[in-house]
Amino acid sequence: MMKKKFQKRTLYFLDLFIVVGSLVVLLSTIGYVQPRVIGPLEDSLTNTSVLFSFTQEATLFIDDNPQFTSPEEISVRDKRIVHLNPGRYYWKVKGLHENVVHTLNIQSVVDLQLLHSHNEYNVVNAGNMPLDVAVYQNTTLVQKLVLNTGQNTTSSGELFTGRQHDS
Amino acid sequence: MTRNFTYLLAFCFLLLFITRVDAIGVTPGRLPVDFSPGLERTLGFTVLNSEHKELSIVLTVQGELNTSIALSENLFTMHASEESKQVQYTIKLPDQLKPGQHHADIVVLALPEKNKIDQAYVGAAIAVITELVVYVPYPGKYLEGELNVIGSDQNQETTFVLPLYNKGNLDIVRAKANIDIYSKLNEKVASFNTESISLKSTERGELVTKWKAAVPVGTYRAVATVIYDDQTFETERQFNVGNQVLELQQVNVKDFTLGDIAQLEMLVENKWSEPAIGAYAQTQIFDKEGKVMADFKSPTYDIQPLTKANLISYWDTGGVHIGTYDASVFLRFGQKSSQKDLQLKVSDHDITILGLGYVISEKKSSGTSSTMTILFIVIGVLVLLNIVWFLVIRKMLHRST
Repeated sequence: MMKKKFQKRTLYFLDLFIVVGSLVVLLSTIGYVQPRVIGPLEDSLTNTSVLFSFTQEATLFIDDNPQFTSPEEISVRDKRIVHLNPGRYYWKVKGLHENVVHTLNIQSVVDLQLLHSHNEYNVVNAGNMPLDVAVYQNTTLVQKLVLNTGQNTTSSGELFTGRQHDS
Repeated sequence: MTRNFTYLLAFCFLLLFITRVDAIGVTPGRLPVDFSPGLERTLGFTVLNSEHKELSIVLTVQGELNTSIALSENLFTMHASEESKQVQYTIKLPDQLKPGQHHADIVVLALPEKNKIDQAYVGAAIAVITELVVYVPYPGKYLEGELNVIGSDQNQETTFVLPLYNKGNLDIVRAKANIDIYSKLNEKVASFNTESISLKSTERGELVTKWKAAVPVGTYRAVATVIYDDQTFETERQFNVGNQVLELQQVNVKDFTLGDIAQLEMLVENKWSEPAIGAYAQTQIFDKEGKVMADFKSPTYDIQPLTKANLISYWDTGGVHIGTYDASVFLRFGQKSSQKDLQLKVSDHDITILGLGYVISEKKSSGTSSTMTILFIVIGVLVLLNIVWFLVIRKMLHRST
């Protein structure tokens, strides 16, 4: 009687071992095959080249709305730089955690540089948006320029004012 | 004595060519706010001292809503070590504003340097503007949108995306669009409808539909008629079928030694039926942190229709280490631009280009499935183990007891 009870208990123990062991192995494997996000860790950036990095190869979906109605699908092996214009983006990784949606806000930067060269200035758009530049001489507007990102031009004046170009 | 004089002359000559750089930045460049009567909110912006100079900053507010803004400070100094500075301001909007956009400009002025002798300002002043844009809903139903066309290769699916913004103060129950495609000769070649969506006041939504571009390569015009409740508006966009006007097919680097100037020969095909005048390649190479470490352009070329040309670029690899670098090649002509992301594997005497056409995409897809294969194998083994245990071994053990 005692032996039978002991054997039954052993069987139940083995049942439990098999079920729990199976679950542990299954969850560990899911964790292993699932790409984990290494970067970007911040959700607000000013750099338009965004480095996406994962522990595994991953397929990335990026869109400008959380419903992902027209997403860009990008394959990432380890890491990949994705160029995005300033704006708000939503991104997720294809796989089991597809419902985890991350946000990414790329801030527009208005950055104006003046390189003094003799009597003129080299005006550079060092920001990440096209710029409208107004040039003043003695408080009078003398020139209006439109500079694309990274573009430069020569001009002369006493005050240079840059603002985000109206698209 | 003569040598000293030569050094002095060279130094003076060098001074003549030294250029002084002044810079000021602000982020964000524009901040949108939805209107609500009497809205009070604290907002902020960041002033950037990208050249790491001692800056005297003056802040002023101008524009229609200038009286609605109160800055936390109007005058401050940024030290050379200070890369950025956060500035806060509060807005208090009036109870009523006309429908549409209303603006206020916050001007960030960097005063020019002062002469140490007479304290007079030397050089020009620079100012950057951060804009506050307040959107006031229109009375009733008011929908705005703009048609975008994505990826249009011949016989491939073309996606039409219509972001819609409900700028009215009433909800829109149903909005859908009819899209007509016209050829260059204004002949209608296709017509189709999108699904319909509903939009709450001030909400943004998207209408998306796909069309197989089974038409000859050329320029087309898509006209979208958006029908929302009892109103309509039209938006149109010109697009090309045969989207990849210039296609980067190959990159060759000959006789390369790390540290020297590498000559990159980019084989580019003009797949368009018209010449690509003034085409050039711009290459950006990124370091491990994703920052641009090199940015160079080729001279301009005229590429005849349906022909190939070698676009030559030069990359100074001085200071570059052995490794694999992400790069983006932009092929540009006129207003058109296409981008190709690739990797450069740099060794002592060789640069291997990864990601042109074949390697990356195929390996990626097989790689993703291999991880899933592992998961399926493990699930299979576990299911089998459980079946064998519960249906065979356990029964046998039970019987034997």
